[in-house]
Amino acid sequence: MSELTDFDPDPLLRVDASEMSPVDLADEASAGLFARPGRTLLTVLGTVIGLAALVATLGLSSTASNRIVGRFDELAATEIVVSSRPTPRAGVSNEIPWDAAERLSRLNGVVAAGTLSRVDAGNVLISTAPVSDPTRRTDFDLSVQAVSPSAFPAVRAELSTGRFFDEGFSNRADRVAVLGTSAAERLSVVNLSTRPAISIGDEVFTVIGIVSDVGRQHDLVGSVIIPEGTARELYHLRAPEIVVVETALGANDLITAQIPLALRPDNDVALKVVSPPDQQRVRDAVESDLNLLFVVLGGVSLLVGAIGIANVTLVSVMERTGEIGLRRALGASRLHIASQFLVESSAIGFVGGIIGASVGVLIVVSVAAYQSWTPVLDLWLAVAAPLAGALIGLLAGTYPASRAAALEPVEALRSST
Amino acid sequence: MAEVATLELASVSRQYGDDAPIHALKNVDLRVERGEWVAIEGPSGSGKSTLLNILGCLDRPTSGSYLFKGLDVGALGDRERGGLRSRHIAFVFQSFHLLAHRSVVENVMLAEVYQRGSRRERRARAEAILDRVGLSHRFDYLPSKLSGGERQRVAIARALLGSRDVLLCDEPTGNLDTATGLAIMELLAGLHAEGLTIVMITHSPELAMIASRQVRIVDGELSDGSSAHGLSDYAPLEAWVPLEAADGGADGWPTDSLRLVGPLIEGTRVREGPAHGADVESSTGSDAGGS
Repeated sequence: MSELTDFDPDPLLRVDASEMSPVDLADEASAGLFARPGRTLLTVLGTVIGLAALVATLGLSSTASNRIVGRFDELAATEIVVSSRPTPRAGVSNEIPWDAAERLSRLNGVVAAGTLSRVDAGNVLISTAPVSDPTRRTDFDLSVQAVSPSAFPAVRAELSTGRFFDEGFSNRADRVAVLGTSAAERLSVVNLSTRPAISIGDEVFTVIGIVSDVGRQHDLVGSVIIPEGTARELYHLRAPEIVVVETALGANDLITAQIPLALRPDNDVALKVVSPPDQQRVRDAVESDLNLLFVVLGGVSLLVGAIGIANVTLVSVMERTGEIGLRRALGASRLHIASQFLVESSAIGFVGGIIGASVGVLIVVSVAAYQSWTPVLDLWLAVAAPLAGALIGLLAGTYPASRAAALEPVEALRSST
Repeated sequence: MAEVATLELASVSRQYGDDAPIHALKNVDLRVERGEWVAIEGPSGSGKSTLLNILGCLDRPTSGSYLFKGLDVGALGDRERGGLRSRHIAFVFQSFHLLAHRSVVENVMLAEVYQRGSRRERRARAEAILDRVGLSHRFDYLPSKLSGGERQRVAIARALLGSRDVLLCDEPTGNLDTATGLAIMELLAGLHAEGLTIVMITHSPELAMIASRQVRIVDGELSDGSSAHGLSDYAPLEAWVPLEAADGGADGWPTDSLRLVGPLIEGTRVREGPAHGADVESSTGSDAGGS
């Protein structure tokens, strides 16, 4: 007798539990999803939006806080200011050597270093005109600073016109000056082509440049800046007052430790080395504030997506009551029914996670590109988002699946397919 | 030799609800032997569906015992009952219960989803069975493209795949016109002739007569069908075969299908022999004995 007609072979001694292979489970679940592709897509969309929002907000927040951190680093985290301690020990001077900038620039990790000193020119006013104009004030009390040529890059000075002085000017003790922009404004120096001169007391200086802005040592903007060599000759400057050092990112601690040895190997307590306060805590605070806000926003979107999955799966369970009854009649246990709906809802979440992560990354990259920021995104987000989606789908499917599993087959079959 | 009955209900009762309980079944005793075709006939609300659900392990009796091939199914858990349904019990429903979005062959393959096994072999078996019920040209159709009779054939093919012991039919022709319904009955008759045990519920005494044994259920109580109606009250099967159906045309496929079904039910030729009902019984008896 053929297999087909081999009915009712033997009396039943034992019965095997019904079982479903993972392949069949995946197959049935995907068939369930593809049965109503439009609805499945719309349901996926809910997770896509939620996870895209989450990935985008996390990505944007890390991109944005990276930018904030970057600004901190640029301005302060790479800065070291060296000054001499006020009280010298008996018989030992605490002065900064004149070649301090040169010595420091040899250190690996120093981007630029320059010396600056406030010049005591005597109680003199600074003016542009050799002749006093009675109609307006021409004499101003401005600070005079002597700097080494290498100080300009160290303080990130930007020229609006003219040039900086170099070693030659300094070595020759030339009477040249660079004006800070507000000093230039007060002295009414605008056009350098006429080679304007200013007088500091009785000494006349040619203005060769105007500094529009500085990144550090902001009082330079309101000062008359003259070469160090000139100040040494004219005003008997004894030693540089401070050294401003710009380090490479991350080299700050190292350089801070090396400076005393480099400048005063004979007296390691002569100098005061001030590196910026640790920005880490400030940055962390900013980051966590931003992150919290964004994560809450993303989480809310995700919750809405999860509710969407739960809702659609529940509707699907109700619609497919007849199918559930049939499957029970064909041997499915409650667990099999629940598994199928859980796999379906997890698959929706998983696919939503993949698409959502992609969309989110795209948003971050687009926004960053538009704002000329560097997109910063944790790689694990790309992996975690689909998993999170699947987990959300699983959780969202729990209630509908339990409803499906709880259906009495008799009741379920009564509803028509 | 006292053979173990395929299905045996002893004093089975089923009540719904605790306050003002509804007694759907009252102390039902029923024994279905191997190879029998039992028709359970009764009016709406008589409890016949409840009886079929209990026989199919879809429902549990409130009291009484149910032995399936000697095995007490009351002691089985959910998954064992699932296994029993998957491998031993087949259902055919009035409303077909085909999945609308799956092809004909996938609908049939569904019967073995809850048994582990290779998909390729499953598909081959499904195609063979579809071939046998005369639907070899419809493998990849969606159920919505099929006629009612074809849908029920798909459902029967699905029932035959995987479950070999007993076929439970719930008004299998209820949604079909007379000619198509009769063709389905012929198909069942053919399967029965090959040894398949069938329990069928119907509200139609005429259809019940095609079975080898009739029991009647009224208000949850079972009685021998012959006590309610004499066998001679009903015309034999041949009277229910409209000639135009046999000649083809009524449902698009009867010509072919009847020709296909014909060889299956040898000895039960619809237009031969004087007393067809008796013919079915005798052929059943010989087939069951030979299997």
